[in-house]
Amino acid sequence: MSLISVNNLTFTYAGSQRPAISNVSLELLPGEITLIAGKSGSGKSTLLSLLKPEIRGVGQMSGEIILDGKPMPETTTKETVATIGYMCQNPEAQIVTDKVYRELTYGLENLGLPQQEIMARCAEISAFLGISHLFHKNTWELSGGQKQVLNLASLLVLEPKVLLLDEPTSRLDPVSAEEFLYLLQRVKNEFGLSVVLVEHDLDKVVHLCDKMCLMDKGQIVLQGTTREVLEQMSLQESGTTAWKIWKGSGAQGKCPISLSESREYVRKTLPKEEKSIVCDKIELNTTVLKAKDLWYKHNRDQEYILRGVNFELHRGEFMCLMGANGSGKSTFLKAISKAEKGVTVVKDQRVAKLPQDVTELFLHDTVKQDLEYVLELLGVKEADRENKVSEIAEQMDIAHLLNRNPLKLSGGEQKRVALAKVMLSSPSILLLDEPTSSLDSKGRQDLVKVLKAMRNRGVAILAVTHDTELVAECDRVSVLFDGTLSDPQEPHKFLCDNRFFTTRAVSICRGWIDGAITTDEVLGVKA
Amino acid sequence: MTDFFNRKSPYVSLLYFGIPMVVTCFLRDWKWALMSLVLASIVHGLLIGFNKLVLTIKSVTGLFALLVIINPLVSTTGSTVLIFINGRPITVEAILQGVSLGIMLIAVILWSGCWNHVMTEEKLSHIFKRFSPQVVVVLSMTLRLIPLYKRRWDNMQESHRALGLPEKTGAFSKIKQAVICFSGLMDWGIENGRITATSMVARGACLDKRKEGV
Repeated sequence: MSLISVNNLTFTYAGSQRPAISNVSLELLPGEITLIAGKSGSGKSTLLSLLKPEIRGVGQMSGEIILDGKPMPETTTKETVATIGYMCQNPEAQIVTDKVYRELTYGLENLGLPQQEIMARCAEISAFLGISHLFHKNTWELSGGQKQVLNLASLLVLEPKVLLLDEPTSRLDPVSAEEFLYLLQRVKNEFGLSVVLVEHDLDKVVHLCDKMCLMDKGQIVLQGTTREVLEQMSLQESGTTAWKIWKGSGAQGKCPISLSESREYVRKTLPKEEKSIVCDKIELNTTVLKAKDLWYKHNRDQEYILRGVNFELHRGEFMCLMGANGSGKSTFLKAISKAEKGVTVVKDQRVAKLPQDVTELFLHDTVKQDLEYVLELLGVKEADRENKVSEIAEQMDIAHLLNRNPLKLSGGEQKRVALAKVMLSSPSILLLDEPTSSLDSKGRQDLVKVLKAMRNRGVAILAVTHDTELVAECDRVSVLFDGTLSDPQEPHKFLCDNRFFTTRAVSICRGWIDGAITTDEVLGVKA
Repeated sequence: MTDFFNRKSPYVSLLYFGIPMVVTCFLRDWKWALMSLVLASIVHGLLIGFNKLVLTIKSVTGLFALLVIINPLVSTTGSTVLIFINGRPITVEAILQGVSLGIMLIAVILWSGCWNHVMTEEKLSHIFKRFSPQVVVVLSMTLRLIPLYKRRWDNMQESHRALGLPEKTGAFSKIKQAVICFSGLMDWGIENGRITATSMVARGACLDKRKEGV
């Protein structure tokens, strides 16, 4: 018995010519996680928003949506509020109140439930999700992962039958993301909910999902079980790492989904070998930035976060820094950008930092105004500003975005606009804080292209990241742990030697095909 | 002593600290004001500590002295004149009135300190929810937004400083820059608010009037 049934749904936003969704049909059954995948702009989030009247956009809709055997109401009712839960990717913005317990009871109070029942439901859900110890904390004191779990809890107390999750883990670090997805799986199993998950990083979620829908240009092009869809996906789409290996090695047998299936497939299908990938020896140029015995803490009452860090960055080098959440990576970048005691920036080198939340740099209504403002601060004459803006817009591929509001752009576009703003002053040292967070694989590829072009022009780049795919593209990588930095290593050696700080390809092929860090290398495909 | 009030109903705290605070404001006689001050000192010392009490009193001594000096200069009530300044009589009664006002002020400050210490936001919400649960939500949202906006402002300042652009000198330029940053903060606030509003509506904010809360 399907919980939500969608038949021939078409939706066009008000003021738009093209429908955002066309002829979409979908069945959501209890106890299943349905993955909706597809490129940016394929209509995934729009489809999700149509399944809950409260968050539906304004526009023309045709087709029908059946909720529990009856047509879905047009406006909000107690049933739609309680039965369907919705969560988006921004952990902080979704929180309404200041205390955790108040956040949990918010929806229940709106439904007018008696106090005893409210308390009973909160007690049960907080025990189940393991957040009882956070009950009286302020919501702003929680970490990103804890906030998303709180958001999930505040939906579960309403006893929903369907959960709609729009990229819930895209802003979380890998460990928090794994914990959240594990809880989601438990929730689905224990409560028999139907979960609809929109995600672009398929490696993270595909082993959890029962069904999958692939969307493109507002239509569902493929639908079925996860394995069925993966087996039918064409090479133009971006699937999982295991799928790429399976597809690239002749698509023999069933497409592997879980890690163990992938490892078994590799051992059965591909020949055992030791790849010796010849890397271009990186010539280290002149040092542009040096940290020697750097000790740093935010204020006097705290413990030292950085304890005697020694570090060197060279001209035209792309370096990555990895480390656990809370290990002090962002603090390290802050200490460098403030030129704290122990940090030496070689004369005439300008340091610029791209923050993790790039929207912190947006001050004006259009991208063009923001870029011209920077030029004004740099003392560039008004007559020359137009040219300089066009130049940087070409370089960063944002020429078509100049008249748009930066806060309304997609994640990848925002990153490129922010990078343009940073590069306007032509810094020779660029610090990046989690540059690929919330980007899909195309966004990451575009960003890497831009960064490599800058590196080739002589800019020294230091990126702090969790993303092992980005680390695979850099020149040297180091790990920050317990306040100190490990010796920098070449990414191949680093990724092949590690078990957690490594790419998916290495995890799958370790022990059978060693020395390869990307699927292209595993398959022996020349890039 | 704080535990005692935390274990009792919030209405007990409301009455115990609210009534003396309000009544003290209307005490004109120095004897009553002094009694209120003594009681406030004892309660403040027991609740928050006698060290803090001494510090608080020290910090308002200047204000007290100001009142004692200014009141005779503006008020000419009383008959026992001490001296004449610029033709205005400085009377003993006016000085005593200033002293009385000063004592009353210190007492109110001490009672307010006790009120702040005991009446937490949770107790206030418990009291308000009977009258208007909506007020509790708005209060809760405001208390969340204040540190959030402050943190965002600090992060924006830090991000702009880290761009490595030349610093603008001059008060006018700094003010202009602050205004532009503030406008950016407000834009972000609106976008953020849109997501929060969606989250609120998705959880039934537009349904019937809220019933009782927790």
